[in-house]
Amino acid sequence: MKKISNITLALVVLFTFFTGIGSSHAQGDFTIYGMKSLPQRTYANPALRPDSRFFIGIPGLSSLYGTFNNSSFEFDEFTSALERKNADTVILNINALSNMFRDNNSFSGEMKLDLIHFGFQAGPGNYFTFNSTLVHKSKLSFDADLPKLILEGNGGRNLGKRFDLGFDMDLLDYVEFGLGYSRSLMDQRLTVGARVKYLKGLVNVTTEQSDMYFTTDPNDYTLLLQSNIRLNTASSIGNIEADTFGDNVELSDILGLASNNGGWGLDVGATFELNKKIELSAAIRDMGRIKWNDNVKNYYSRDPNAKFEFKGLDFNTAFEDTDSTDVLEALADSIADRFKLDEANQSYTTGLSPEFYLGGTFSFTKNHRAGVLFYGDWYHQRLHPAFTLSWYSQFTRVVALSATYTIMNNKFNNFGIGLSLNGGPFQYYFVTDNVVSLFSPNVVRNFSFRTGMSFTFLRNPKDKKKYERK
Amino acid sequence: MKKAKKLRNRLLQGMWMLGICGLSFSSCVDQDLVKDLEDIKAARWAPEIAVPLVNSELSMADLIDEANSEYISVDDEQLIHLIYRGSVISIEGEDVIYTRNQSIANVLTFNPSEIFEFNLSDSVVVEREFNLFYDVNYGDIDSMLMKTLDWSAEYSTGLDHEVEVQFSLPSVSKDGVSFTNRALLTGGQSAQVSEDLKGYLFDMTQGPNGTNDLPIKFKVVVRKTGTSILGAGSTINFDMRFDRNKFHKFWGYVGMEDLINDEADTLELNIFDDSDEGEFTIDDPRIKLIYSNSFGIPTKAEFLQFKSFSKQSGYTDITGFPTDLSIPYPTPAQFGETLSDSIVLNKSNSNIGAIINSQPEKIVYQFEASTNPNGREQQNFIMDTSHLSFYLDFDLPLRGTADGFHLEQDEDFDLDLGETVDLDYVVMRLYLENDFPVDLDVQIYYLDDMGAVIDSLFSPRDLLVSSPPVDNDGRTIGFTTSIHDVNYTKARIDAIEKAKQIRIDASISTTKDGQTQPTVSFYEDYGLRVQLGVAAKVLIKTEGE
Repeated sequence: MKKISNITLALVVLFTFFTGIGSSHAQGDFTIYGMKSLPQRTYANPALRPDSRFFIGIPGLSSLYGTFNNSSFEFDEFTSALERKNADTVILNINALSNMFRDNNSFSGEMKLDLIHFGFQAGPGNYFTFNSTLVHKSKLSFDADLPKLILEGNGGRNLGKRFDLGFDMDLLDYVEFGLGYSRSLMDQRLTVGARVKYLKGLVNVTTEQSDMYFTTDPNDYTLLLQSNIRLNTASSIGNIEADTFGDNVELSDILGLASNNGGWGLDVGATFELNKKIELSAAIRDMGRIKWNDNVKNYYSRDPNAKFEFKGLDFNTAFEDTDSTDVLEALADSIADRFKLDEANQSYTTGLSPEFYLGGTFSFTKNHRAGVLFYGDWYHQRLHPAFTLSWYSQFTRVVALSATYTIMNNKFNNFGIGLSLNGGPFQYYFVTDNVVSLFSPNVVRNFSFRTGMSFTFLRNPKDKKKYERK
Repeated sequence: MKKAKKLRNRLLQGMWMLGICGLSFSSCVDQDLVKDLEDIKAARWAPEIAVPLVNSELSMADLIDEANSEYISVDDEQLIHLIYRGSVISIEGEDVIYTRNQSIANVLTFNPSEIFEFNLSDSVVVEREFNLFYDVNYGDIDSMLMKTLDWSAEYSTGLDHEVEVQFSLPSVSKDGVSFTNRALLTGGQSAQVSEDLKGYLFDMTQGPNGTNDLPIKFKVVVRKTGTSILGAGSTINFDMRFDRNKFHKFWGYVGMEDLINDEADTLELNIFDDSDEGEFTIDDPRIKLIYSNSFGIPTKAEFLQFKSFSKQSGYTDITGFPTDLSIPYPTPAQFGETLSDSIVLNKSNSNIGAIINSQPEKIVYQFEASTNPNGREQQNFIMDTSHLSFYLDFDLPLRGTADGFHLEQDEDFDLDLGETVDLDYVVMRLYLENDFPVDLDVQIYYLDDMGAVIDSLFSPRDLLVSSPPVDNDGRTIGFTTSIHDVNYTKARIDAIEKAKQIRIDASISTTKDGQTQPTVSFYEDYGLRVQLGVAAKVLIKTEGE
C-alpha cells in the first residue's frame, strides 16, 4: 500500500513538474552545467569546479551571456494568418493572429557580462572564485485577453467575457560583486560551495500590481473597466524620465557605486559522488534582494477599487453646449480621472528570482558522461521549470563538447550544444541551450548563448596523467 | 582492450558528427515563410465591436418638443399640463398717451410808460406772461413727471442795447424749485439757450384751462448801451420749443378711447398636426384668459370672436366667455401696482371638452378694450411702464385616454458608410423601461427616392413599449421593460444605404384593462429609460485587398 502511495505521489510530482514546463521564463544554464572544462559552470552551482586550479577571465571578454524567451509563438505560426491570393500577393488576416497567443504570454531577456572573473584552488580542498558582473533582466508578460480584445474586439463570442488586461513589466539592471568558496569533504566525495554577492542596483522597473479588467455586458453592452496598478521605478543614474535620464552620467554612476540602491545575494550548492560512476548535484542560486532607495518613483492607483461603467451617453446632458468631439474628450477625461495615478517616493525591495538545479551524471568513461538536470525558477509566485538531458565528452585536452536536450517554455525542440577549445592556457568557449535558434529562428521560442575567453592553468591533474599515458 | 576503447571513442566521435550534421540539416530557415512575409500587400481585419451608445432617462418634457410654443407645467399634484400660450396682446403707457413736440413763438413790445422810463433812466424792466396749451393725442393732462424733455429758446432783437431775458416756468419744478433761465443779448445779436428738463414735474392745472396749461413768464431788462431809440416799434422776439416729450408719470384723464381695437390672433395647436386617426380625450381641458393691468384707468374688454378649427368639425364657437369683461385697475392708492385676473373655461362652463376631442388645430380669437367706459370716474394715471396685457393659455392637464392615436412623419435620411469600412452585420439593441401609461407601437420605414418602402426597422412589428397597469387615480403601478434587437446583415445595410427618407409611423394608446380603457394620468415623475447599444462586425481592409 505504501508503495502504491509513493508511486502515486511520484506521479503527481512528475505531472506537476512536466505540466509546469509549459510555462515560460526558464532561463537557466543547462548546457554549461555539465561542462567540466569551463570555469563559468560555477555560476550555476558554486560547488562545481572547473578542471583548472587557477583561471582568470580576460576582463570584459570572459563571459557574455544572453537569453531571450518567448512563451507565445514561433514565427512559423505566422503562416496561419497568411492567405496567399496570387503569386506575389499575400493577405494578412489580423484576426488569425489571436490564435498565436497562449493563455499566459511572456517575452523575457537576460544579459550578463563579466567584468572580472577569476578563481583558484587554495590547499587541497578549497576553491575560491571572484566575479564582477553586469546583469540585465527584463520581462513583459500578459494574458491572452489583451491581444484577443485588440484583434477580435469585445463583441460576438467575447460578450460577457471578463478580459484580464493586466500586465507585468519588469526591468532589472545591477552590478554583482561575487565571492565564491567551495570545500571538499568526505575524502573529496562531497563538495559544498557558496557565493556571496554584493549587489548594486542600477535601474529597475517593477510591476507590483496590475489588475486591469474589461467586461462588456451581453444584455445592454454596458462597458465596465476596472484598474488597480502599482508600478515602482528607481535608478542610480537619475529619474527614469526622458528629460533627466542620462544627464551628467559618470562611470561610478553606471556601476552604481555611489548609490544607495543595493542588496545581497547568495548562491549555494553541493555535489556528491555517489560512486565512481554517479555524481549528484544540487544548487540554489540568486537568493537575495535589492533595496531601492535612490531616485525612486512609485506610481499607484489613487483608488485601488476604481471602476468605470459606461452605459452610453445621456442625450439630455451630453451635448449641452458641446459638439461630439467635446463629448468624447469629456468621456476620456472622466476615465483618466477615474483611474488617476498618484506618485510617491517610497523605497521598495525587489527579489532576484531564485533558481534551483537538481542534477545527476553517469560517467560511462572518465571523459564521456550523460546527465540529467531538473531546473526551476520562482518568479511572481510561480514555478517555471525545465528538464534537461545532457551528454559531455572531453575528447582531448583541447576539445570538449556537450550536447543537451531541454524541455521548456512549451517547446520540445531545444537542442543545446557547448564547445570549449583550449590552446595551452587560453580557452575559448561557446555554449547555447538552443542551437536550432541560430539557424532556424522561425521555429523556436528560446534563444540563449554564453561565450567568452579565459586563461586556465593547472588543469585537473588526473586528466593530465591520463593524457600523459596516452 | 585498447582496441575496444578506440572503437568506442570513434563511435562517440561519429555520433557527435552525425548530431551536428543533423542539426545543421534541420536548421534551415523556412524560405516559404520569408517569401510569404515579403509578399504581404494587404491586411484584413474583422473585429466584432459592441458599444453602448445612449443611456437616457426621458421625461415628459424631453418627449415633447418645446420649440413649438408649447410648454410643460406641473401642478401641485405633480400632474403634467401641456400648455399652449397664445400670442401676448399688450399695450404700454407710452402707446396710450403721447405728447407731441410743443412750441411757442411770440414778440415782446414796449408800452409808452416803459419807453418813457427807459428814456428817463437809460434802463427799463419789462414783465410778460404767456400760456402754452400742451397738445396731447387725447385726454387732459393734469400733471406729468418727465422722463425726457429738451427745452430750447432763441431770442432776437433789433436793439443795440444790452437786453437781459429772465425766463421762468412757475408750474414746472424739480425738488420744489421752479425752472428759470437767463439770456443776455448785446449789440442787437440773437441768443440761443437750452436745458434738459428730465425729472421736472409739470403741473398743468395752473393755467386758464385748468388742464394742459403751461404758464410762461418773461422778465426783460433793457440797459442803454447803444444808440438805437426804444420806441413803439421796438421788439424782442422769442421762439421756444419743448421737444422729445416722454413722461415717466402721467395724471389726468384719457377719455373714452379704444385701447385695443378689434385685435385678432390665432393660437396654433400642433399637438395634433401629424395625427390622422384615433381617439383622444382630455379629462379636464381648460382655456384660461389671463389679464393684467397697471394703468390707473377703468377699462372694459369685449370678445368679438372665439372659435376653434379642426379637420373633423371645421370652425366651432367656443362658448362660455362673458361678452364684457371688466379689467381690474389700480386706484391712486395703488399707483405703480399691477392687478391681474383671469377667466377659465372648462367642461362645466363651456363646450371646451367637445372642442378638444375634435383634435383642434387652432383657436381663433378677436377682442377689443376701451377706457373709462362710464366716463370720468377717477383721475387717470399712467406710468411709462404701465401695461395692459392679455394671455390666452390652452391648458391640457394630461389626464384622459388615447386609443389608436396615430402619428406619421417623414424625414430626410442619408446613410453613407463609406468605402473602406464594411459592415458584416449590425445588431442594434434597444432596452426600454417605461413608466408611462401608454402602449407605443412604432415602426420606421426606409423609403427610396420614389417613396417606395425598401425596408423597415422592426421585423416583425411589435409594441415598442407597453403600459404598466394603473391605479384608481390613473397612476401607473411599477414599470415595464422590453428589449428589441434590430439585426442588419450586410445585404440589408446595402439596401438601406439607398434610402432617401424614413417614415416614422407611431400609434399610441393609453392603458387598457381588458375591453375598458381607464383614465390615465401623466405625472412628472414618469420616465422612459432608453439604452441603445450597437454590436457590429466591422470589415476593415487595407489597400490592395
